[in-house]
Amino acid sequence: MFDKLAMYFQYPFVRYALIVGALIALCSSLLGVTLVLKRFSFIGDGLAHVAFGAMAVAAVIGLTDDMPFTLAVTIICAALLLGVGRKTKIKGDAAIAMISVGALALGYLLMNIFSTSANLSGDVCSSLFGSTSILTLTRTEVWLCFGLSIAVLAVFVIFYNKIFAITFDEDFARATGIKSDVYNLVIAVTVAVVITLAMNLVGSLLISALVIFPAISAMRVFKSFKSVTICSAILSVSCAILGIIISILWGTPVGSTIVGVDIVVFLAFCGFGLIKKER
Amino acid sequence: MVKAKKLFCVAAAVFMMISLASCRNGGTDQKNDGESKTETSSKNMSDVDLTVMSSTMVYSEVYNMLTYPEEYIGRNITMKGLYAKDESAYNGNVYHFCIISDATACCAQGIEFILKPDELYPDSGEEFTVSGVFETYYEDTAMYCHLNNAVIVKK
Repeated sequence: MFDKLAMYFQYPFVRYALIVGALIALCSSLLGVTLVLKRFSFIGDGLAHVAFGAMAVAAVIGLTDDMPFTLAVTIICAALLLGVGRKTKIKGDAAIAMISVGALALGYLLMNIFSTSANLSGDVCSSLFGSTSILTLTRTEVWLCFGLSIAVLAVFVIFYNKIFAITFDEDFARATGIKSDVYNLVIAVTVAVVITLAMNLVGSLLISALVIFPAISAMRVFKSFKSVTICSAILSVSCAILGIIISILWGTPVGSTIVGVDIVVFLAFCGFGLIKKER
Repeated sequence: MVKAKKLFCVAAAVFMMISLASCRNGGTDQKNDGESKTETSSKNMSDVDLTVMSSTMVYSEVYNMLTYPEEYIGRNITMKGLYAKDESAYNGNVYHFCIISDATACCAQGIEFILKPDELYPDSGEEFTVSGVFETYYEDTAMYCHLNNAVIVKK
């Protein structure tokens, strides 16, 4: 098994997949803690469907590189849901559900009507479940993922205190002079970036798992924001790397394998949490 | 401290923009000089045996062969898959393919191959293992890849 793994590591795309996968997992876990605590767990799913719809539109209008377009549309929708959402009549989960299914349906409809591919079902399946996307990144996409991940990490580190403040009590944060609307927008933009990147790793239907599971697992054992964030980051990166290794060794789909590992770790941490509570 | 944070923010934003801008120039630049020729030179002559790899790795490696063909030219490729053939309505040529699926079984890719003159092609849909030299060739202005001088290793 180790010989086989050593052979696989000689392939550049395997090394790229591990690096990019770890970076995406790290970014998603950091934001996951904030999103779970702000009760926006399902926003990852909603925005992933928006990204799917945007990819379909990009394909229909003939954009050879759909990432910038997908990113822009996802950022706008994230801002609407996280930032401006409070001022609209349709709120919270209803707005997310509406945008989510609407974008998914329109995306699939457009792909069907203006199909440019010989294998439509394959393209849809690959976008929804990730398939082997992370192992088939072009060098440009690797650099793009790397750059955006570093930018997301930088934003999280720089605005850590502000994000912490608006996560727990937005009204109090606003009263202390923190421009909560601006920071909500910052969170929305970074969430959109992470979602667009994570589509390469697990596909648009499984992104929520990448955002939610590490944070929830960490919350079973740790209680402070800092310790939960650190634990969540370690868990997420470990699960992503382990998932990618399992999938390349045994030929399983990458996205669902990573989510499977996340579920096992969650169950293990539930057990740790119970033991810790009894002591 | 605030200045340093602002500077870091600007640097992060610039880094992000560069990443996005670089994306526009991305993709594989395939040679497209319109000539009909076959390239057989190679930087790395080591063989690629796809039969010892998992389905995820096989799919990814074949994807890379088709995306970066210049890195595989001249290398001996051995692969296992399902046989399929297609006759071009444009020029009447018959093309033979070895088809492999990804782990989710929703995506499939094929590599064209040409057997040595005395070899017999398998039946359609039959699983087989083929070994041949990876080459690129041009038809009109488009570049294609195939395994040339191939032999059926196992049916």
